[in-house]
Amino acid sequence: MEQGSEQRRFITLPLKTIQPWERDIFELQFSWPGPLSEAGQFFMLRPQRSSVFLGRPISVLDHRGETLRFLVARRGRGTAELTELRAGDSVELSGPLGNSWPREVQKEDREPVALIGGGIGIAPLLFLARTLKPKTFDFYAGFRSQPYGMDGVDASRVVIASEKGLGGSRGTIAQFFDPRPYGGVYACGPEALLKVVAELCHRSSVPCYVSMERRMACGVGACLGCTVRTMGGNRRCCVDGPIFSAQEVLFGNP
Amino acid sequence: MGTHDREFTPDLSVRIGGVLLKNPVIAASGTFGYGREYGGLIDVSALGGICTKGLTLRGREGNRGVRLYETPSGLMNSIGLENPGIPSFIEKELPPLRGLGPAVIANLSGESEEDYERGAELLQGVSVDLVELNISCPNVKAGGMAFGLYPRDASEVVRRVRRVLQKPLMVKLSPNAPQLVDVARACVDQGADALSLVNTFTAMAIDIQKRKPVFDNLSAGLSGPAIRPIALRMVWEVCGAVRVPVVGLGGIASAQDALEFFMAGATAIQVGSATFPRPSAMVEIIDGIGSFMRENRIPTIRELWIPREEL
Repeated sequence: MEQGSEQRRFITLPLKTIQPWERDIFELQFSWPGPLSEAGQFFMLRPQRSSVFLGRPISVLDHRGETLRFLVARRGRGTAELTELRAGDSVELSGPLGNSWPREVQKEDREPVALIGGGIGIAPLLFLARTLKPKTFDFYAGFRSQPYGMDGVDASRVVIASEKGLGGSRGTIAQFFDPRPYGGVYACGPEALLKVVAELCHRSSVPCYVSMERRMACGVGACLGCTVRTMGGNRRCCVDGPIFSAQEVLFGNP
Repeated sequence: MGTHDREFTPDLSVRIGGVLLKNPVIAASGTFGYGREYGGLIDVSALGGICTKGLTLRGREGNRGVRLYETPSGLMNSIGLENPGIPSFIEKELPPLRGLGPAVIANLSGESEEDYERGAELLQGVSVDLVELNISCPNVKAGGMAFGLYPRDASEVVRRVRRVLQKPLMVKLSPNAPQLVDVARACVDQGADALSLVNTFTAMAIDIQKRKPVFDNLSAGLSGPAIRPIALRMVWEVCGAVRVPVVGLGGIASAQDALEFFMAGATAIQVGSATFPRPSAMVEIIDGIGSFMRENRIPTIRELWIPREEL
């Protein structure tokens, strides 16, 4: 994976805008004066006034110039606080952290690549999609109910699936995915999805990269709390990842 | 603040077992990796000292299952002393850690008395300033906290380490000891140059959906602001019972918190969990201690202590 540079900062900033995309899905935007993020990296985010102890690791949705955007799904207390912020509220940000999507499978002379996102896992893939040449990739996105975020995606093909078939096909996204036409696959979402995608890619010998999610405390490799088990031993999701070669990851109980 | 006050410069330096720290704020073991992890986020060179992650003779993979669990004002962890082993630490982590500037404190753990002794022998030969003997890790099945609960066990491991270690020795105590002051005295009797307290409290969480304990080991170590008042009371008691420097820790997140520990008699403090949500916590604490001492014209850390005879 591309190793993240040591260029990161801890800065307290006012939230610039917050807007809902879908039920429980909010976009948060900041003017970030620190180093630029690469697709796949994340920040630790914590409201300055917070009733939870730790920050939350949130993938970068997009970063151009000083405009830094995140997509937050309201899940537990920490993400609920983030989605209840108002413009102007102070937020503590550490980042950009972690590695980024690898570039070697994106050479122009190669086959197209596939991006596979499950739910809020589409966020780091939307960032990746924006950095790819238009129409050189297919984007598969799975949702529990209403799809979101797929409107501006300049893919050759967009495949959407949800449990009820809203805005696309009915089913789970992996049902609609065949890795064989692709030179590489990038996936982020629930671990069950990543595991299926990894197995499909393995069978077809297609390189596959997955962005893993773990509860984190430090986000910088110090606390050893966010272990991802791999063929090569324990890895830290926050600094050795969040992106791993799918064939290395031992999915299941951490 | 007038110009008069600005001319007053307090001395924040402290000595622990003969080692001079430029200020009394130390990164606690297990929360700061090997010193480089927070590079870019804070000025690591500003710290008084850095305690390494708990080191064992042989490398350890650490615990399976959930390792972190957030609580109101705190954090439970069950890492299980994951580390590359002392030889690998010496080869790969120590040289860059040494170059950062702060005093280097190697946190030494072990599964047996022999492990502690052999680990101490290895650390004796290298460039670490101080050894912090960890007899208080609650997350390993063998060793760790098992040596820190009772005076007799603590005595034996400190005695064996003291025999081979000429470097200054600090013993990190467990708040889970039924008679903490007795354990503290036993360590000092066997030659500990300093004590650090407290390590984490054994604690528990249950996943009500799965109807099972969150942690594979059932219990885990609780840290963070939730434990601070208990840690402060323990530091106060131990400071009243021993004459060696005491390094206070347990939930310290601000300069006000740190000052309470100094007033209780601590010579230095460690900051652990507070660094996670706020990487700048230690740097702000150093600044805040300096400001308080300037404003109150207190020249040294030692003079923050509350004289016991006045109470």
